[in-house]
Amino acid sequence: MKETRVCGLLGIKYPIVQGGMTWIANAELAAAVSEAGGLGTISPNAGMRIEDDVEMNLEKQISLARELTNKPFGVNIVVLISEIAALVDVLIEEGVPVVTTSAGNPRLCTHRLKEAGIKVLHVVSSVRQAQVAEESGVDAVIAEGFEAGGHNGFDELTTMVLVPQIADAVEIPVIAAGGIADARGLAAAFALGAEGIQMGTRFIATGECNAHPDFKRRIIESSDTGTMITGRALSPTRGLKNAFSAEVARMDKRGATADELLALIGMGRSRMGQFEGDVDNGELYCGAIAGMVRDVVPAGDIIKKIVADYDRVVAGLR
Amino acid sequence: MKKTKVCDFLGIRYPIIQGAMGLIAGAELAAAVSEAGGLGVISPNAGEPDWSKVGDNIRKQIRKARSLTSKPFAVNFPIHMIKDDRSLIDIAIAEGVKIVTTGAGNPALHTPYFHEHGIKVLHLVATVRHAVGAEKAGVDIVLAEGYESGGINSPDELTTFVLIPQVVDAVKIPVVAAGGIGDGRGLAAALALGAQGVQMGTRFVATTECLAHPDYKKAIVEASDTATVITGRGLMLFRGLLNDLTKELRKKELAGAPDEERSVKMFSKLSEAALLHGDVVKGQAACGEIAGLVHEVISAGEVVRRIVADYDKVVKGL
Repeated sequence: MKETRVCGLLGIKYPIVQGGMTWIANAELAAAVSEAGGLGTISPNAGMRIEDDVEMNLEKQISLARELTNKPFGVNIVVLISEIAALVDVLIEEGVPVVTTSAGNPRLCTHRLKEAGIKVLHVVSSVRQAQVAEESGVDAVIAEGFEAGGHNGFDELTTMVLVPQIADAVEIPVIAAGGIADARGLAAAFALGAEGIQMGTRFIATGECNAHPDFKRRIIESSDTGTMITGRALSPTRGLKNAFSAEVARMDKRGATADELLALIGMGRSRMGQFEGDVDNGELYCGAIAGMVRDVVPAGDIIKKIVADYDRVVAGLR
Repeated sequence: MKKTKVCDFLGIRYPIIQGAMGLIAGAELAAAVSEAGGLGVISPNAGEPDWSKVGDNIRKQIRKARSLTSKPFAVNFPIHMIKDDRSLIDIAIAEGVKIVTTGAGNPALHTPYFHEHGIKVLHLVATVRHAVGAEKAGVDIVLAEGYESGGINSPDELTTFVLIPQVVDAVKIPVVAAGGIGDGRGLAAALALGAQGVQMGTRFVATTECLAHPDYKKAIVEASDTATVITGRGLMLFRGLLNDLTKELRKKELAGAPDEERSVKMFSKLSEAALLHGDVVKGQAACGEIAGLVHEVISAGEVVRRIVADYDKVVKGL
């Protein structure tokens, strides 16, 4: 496979980034992805209880990842949370090589992180957001399409249309995210102008991911139509269809208020589904590519297979 | 670029099919696409809003296309409009049409009849289940259309990026990708995902040969990445330009307004107003998400030539 600017920027062999899924992007998963030549990404609250201290948990995850690999890895932070400044302190103290930032203004953290020598990747879902991120000094943008799992952009731009338009609008490298799970997806993303990919859902169904086995099973049993968007008016979110998503969809349909929705969703609803394994009453963040995920495998095998298949896919295009 | 199974089967040089946009895909456009090596497709009501006159219109359009090109072209039959009435189909048969595209209905209804008359059938699908059903019904090729496409859309909201590989894995017949494709990058991406060709609508609206009103073409050329919106969720999904009409519909949907307040009365009149008379502010202006990538009105032949030239460049870079 060809080397892209993303490989050089992040010091990795293959331009494959693992999404930093909240609660379930743990050090073991991140280390396995990095060991295989990609970029593993830790979620600061991976595996912790709701009442635990997120800074301490992050420190623990980083040191565990360092025990498991000496290759670069990243940490994903959600910019709009209240603990953000303290988390940035931890990342700087620990000298984490890469930080991916999402859900918030890239101007808030980029400068501090970059001063500390940390590479910053920011998640965007429109051309305008990508331009703002570039102006803010981020090193690359992660262009995430409507098919991605979890929190989603309001504009509903799909990977197919988002990636080429962003590639035309910014100079920095573009990493495509949303709807990618195999070498066909990687080659397609490259064709559209991306220089790397980020995958979330595919990496949940791995032996190393700390997601509950019942959640992993729901992903591998999912068909092409197994996910849906809920919360369009407030915060569009893609997850597997279950009893909980049906309840939220009913509230969406009657125009429920933010307070009503928050009362239903409450704290830790996604942890309940993804980590505790209450797959009926919990929230199961999942991308629309789930129908293509058929088995739970080691994270390293996913990368090996994508790399091995890539050349065959490209040969078929010539 | 290389020939695919779709090229050989349809007798065309490039696997590029022009979508049969209702009201505006007339003989001049179809002939220009076919002359350039793709497959042009005539819409039965091209330039003729009165459906009771569509029979004469089909005959007129087919004869005109034949006067402009000796290459293969197709006619589109929306099944929900013709139901089990074969009078329009018989006109196409009498005029010697050899290829049809069908959609919006059960492919088992007319496919055997088309085949009895030596006509090849391409059927539009938006899920794996529909693709498998279409293959069982005997269609020759499926057109797999993603959520990013303009006009009437599937309630399952699968994007091109996730739909194509899953349909390719599920059927043996060739798959043509539609939705979100506007240039050589999109064609290469679609083929990487496993498609054997592409269908494009929005890109072909902004051509000199298309019957669309100049103001409608201009609106597409000026559109940004976030210029389109889905309306009619739960009723009949439709992607069109964000304007006074669709903003209001979107607002009602997010506020939880009942279905009857969101259903579009005089739907065909509103489409006619936008597409043929250029009222893109209050009319229903079908448009795909890729509009942000369409920057100029050029000839349909030039669209095909540029895509083919770009394709080779894109593939070389992979």
